[in-house]
Amino acid sequence: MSCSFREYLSPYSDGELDTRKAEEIQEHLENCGLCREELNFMRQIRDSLQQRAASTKAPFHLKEKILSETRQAERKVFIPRWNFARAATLVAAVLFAFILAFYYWPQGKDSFTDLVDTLVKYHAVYGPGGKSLRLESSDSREAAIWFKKKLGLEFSVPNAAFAGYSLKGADAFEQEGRKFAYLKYQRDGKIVGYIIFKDSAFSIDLPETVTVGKIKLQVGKKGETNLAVWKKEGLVYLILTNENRSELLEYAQRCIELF
Amino acid sequence: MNKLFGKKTFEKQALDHLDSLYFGALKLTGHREDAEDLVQETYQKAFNHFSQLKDLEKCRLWLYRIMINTWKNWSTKRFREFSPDNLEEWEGSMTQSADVKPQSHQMDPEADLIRKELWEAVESALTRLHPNYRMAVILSDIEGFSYKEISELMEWPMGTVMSRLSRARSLLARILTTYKEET
Repeated sequence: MSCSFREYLSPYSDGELDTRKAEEIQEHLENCGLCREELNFMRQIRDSLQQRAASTKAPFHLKEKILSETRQAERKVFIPRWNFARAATLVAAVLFAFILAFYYWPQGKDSFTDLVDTLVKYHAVYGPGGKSLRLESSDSREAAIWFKKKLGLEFSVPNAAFAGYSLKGADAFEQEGRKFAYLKYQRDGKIVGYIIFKDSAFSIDLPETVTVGKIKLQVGKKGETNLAVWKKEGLVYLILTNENRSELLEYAQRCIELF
Repeated sequence: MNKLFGKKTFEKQALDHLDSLYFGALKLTGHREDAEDLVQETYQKAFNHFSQLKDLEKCRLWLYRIMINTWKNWSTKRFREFSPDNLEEWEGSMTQSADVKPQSHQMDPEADLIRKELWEAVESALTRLHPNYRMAVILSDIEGFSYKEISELMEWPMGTVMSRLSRARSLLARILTTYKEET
């Protein structure tokens, strides 16, 4: 065959010619029997090869061999990683436990004891002639709103209109990242402080435990100050007073009844 | 291993092309055992470098690239037949052996050969082609890769893809014509 279009038949059959050239070949094919025959022959070869390929399957043992090798290779690759991951997890767990123990076990109680000492001192500054409160109000609802706005803390503020006590006002302060709500109640020259703060991990060992309703209060004394502490739903409640223990408990009961 | 795709994806995606690769390997090597070894080595490499495959749509092309490169290395080491250096020499001997008669390949496969015979004839003819021509036919006619993809796979310029494919088909036609005349 010596047709000059022959070299284009192969790319034409593969659809690799641009539109203009393809149209030219198409037109030529209508008039050239040799090229038509050559093109048909190419297509027959292709069909034959494709059919043969479609009917050829890789031997089963080859597939099995490949699967087995990839799985073996995966084990080689992943076992050390798994060991490393396990070791890393173990180290992390030990470290984490160590950190927890360091912060919360021996030092935890000391730090909470220190915290209570701080709160006792804080309460003392609001004694007679002491620091003035930022919110001076006898309205317990107003104090509750003030705390919510100031600290984001929500709790029931007792109006303490019992046993001659009355609400004097509220204040708030921060200590080591914690926010504390402080309420001051007064009867004559005697003051009761009521402190509320968020701390689900708080714990302190005071000598006595008293159950009021479903709440367990820890009762103790720091210097001249009697105090009662309890926890409820992530909040810590602390009552401080220079009054005697029975008045402290009566006051605590009054607060707890509000829950 | 490609963390994105994972082992199961590899098995599903890559093994889907096993038959296709095996057939290509058979045509490349001409020997069943060599074909199995070639495919096995291809899959080993593919598994080890699965992270390099960014587009699952191109998995078959990627596998072929690995197989062809592996085959080239084999050929360079063991057969030295993939080198294009001897292509003209090979073609000369091929043309002679095929005893080409330019106008004589007019055949009617449907009338003269039943399909099985045509398969055998085409396959036999294909194994007689120079590996470069054979590869061009496998990648285009069997695998349906575009000229651009073949160009990338074989590292041939586009013009070379076109001319080799054209030449390969022409040679196949001549071999088959001779075959027809002999039978």
